[in-house]
Amino acid sequence: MAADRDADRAAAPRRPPEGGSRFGSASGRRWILLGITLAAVLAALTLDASLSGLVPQKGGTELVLRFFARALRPALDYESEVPDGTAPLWMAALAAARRTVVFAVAAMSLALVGGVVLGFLGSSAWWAGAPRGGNGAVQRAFYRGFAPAVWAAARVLIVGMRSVHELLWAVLFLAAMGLNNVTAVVAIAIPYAGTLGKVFSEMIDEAPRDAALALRASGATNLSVFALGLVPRALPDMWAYAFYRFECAIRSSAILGFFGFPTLGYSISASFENLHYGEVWTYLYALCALVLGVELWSGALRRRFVA
Amino acid sequence: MTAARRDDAPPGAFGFEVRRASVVYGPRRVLDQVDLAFAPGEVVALVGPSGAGKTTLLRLLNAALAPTEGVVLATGPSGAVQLDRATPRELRALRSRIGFVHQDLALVPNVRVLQNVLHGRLGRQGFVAALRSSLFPSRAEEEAAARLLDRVGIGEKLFQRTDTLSGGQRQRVAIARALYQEPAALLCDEPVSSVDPARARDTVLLLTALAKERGFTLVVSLHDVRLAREFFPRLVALRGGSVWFDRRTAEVRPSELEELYRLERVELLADGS
Repeated sequence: MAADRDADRAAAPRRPPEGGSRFGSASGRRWILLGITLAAVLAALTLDASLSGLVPQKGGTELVLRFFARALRPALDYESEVPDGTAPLWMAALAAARRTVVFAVAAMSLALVGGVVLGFLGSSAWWAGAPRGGNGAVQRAFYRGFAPAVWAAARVLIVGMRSVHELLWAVLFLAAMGLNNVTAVVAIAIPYAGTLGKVFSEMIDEAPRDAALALRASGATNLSVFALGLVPRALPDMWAYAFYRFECAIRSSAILGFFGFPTLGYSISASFENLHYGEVWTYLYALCALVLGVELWSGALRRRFVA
Repeated sequence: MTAARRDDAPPGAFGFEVRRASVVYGPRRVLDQVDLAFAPGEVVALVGPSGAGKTTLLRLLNAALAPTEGVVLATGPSGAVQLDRATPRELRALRSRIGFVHQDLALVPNVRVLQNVLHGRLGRQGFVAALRSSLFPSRAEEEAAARLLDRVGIGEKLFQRTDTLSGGQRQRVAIARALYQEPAALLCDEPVSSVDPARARDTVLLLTALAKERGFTLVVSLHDVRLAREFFPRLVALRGGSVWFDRRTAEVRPSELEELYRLERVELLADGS
């Protein structure tokens, strides 16, 4: 009898071992499904969204058809008269692509520095070296007061930087500093540093700590434990994510061209406004080639280093 | 060769003294009033069923854990240090001389074997020196690591990525890392739990031979009583957090060991788990 009660008590708290679902029972899942459906209906009602919004406006269908008709025939030369001495279209596309990459690389370099600093300071592992035992009043004060403050500041900074989109940063900086290349680079670098910081800190905190603990047990300093025991475990993931963000940075850099920065977006918007759809496709393909190229390159590097 | 060995040998092995030490986690007394002493240079096996407190005892000895009650002392040539009262500086100095081979090895898998071995010296390096030796190991460091790897039998693996090695080879790396500390004491937690019987024998043989050749204190927790009897002159048996017996191996009767583990089965049945 007593054994039975004990068995019940032991079984009760760890309920879903073979059910596997975090959401518990089937009825719980039904409620969640119902909630999601309700939210979708509410959103549609609030937005006053109707399917009529998808019917093209006058001339819209034609425009779309004409645009996509050129997809298989991108322009090989300008679609209107250009002054003598203008570089051929393919060279213009190449130059715009090169500038797109340069902007992305510059922004990403800044973002990486910021992201690594924020990621380290924002991780709990960085501050995990709190000394045990009754000594070092200064050290204890540091870990009790200063450290949580810096950690919190890093987290707030991360949220602030990444909750504003790079286009908004660009608008802000354009208004403040005008159209110059630094503006675009900083506009991309700020939210990217925030995002990298957030993801890096999570990767560091989720990395296996066995080696770090072993190094601490053999007397290594806190900084050595962090840098040599913990960071190497997170590094492959951090690299992979940084490469993914580099692809994103290329797209962002291209899009900022719509504001007048000399990247692929500028060429695309100019050709689009002149209804030179063939040219638009040429530039779009250049952008695709760029992103694909980075993807292949990062994939090759990952295979070599991450295994 | 003998002269070189003497250079390698630590200036003095550590002894340990555990006085009425208990470790309590919530309602569970993992160690209960344990009294033990390990002389400098002694070679001891900890035996007992799983959950007996062997790992906890080892963790007390390298101050990874502080006793809830009682005292743990490390005694070296420069006197005794009470581990839970030590300053961070003293603690670092002590730990840098206590090697620990963890059950799960606790190596960094995605760096070279060389780096993992060099990690053994981190306790005696500042951060900048540690980073330098990890990123740009000197010729001397490479040679020292290669010598240790040779000694543990995997000399050719120096520049391989650690996670390309087999379980048994990785264990050798963990031992080499501990040796690179020039340990005054080496603590091993179930070093043979994850290797096959033939290799288990080799590992225990290696550890005891190293202790003899370099003069460090060796405390190994072992599940395999036969290996413990064969290679260790002294057996400390733990059961339920207390010392069950602590004797010269020659004086331990086989029936006592049988009883040590038989009681475990009886208790398991009584627990109903």
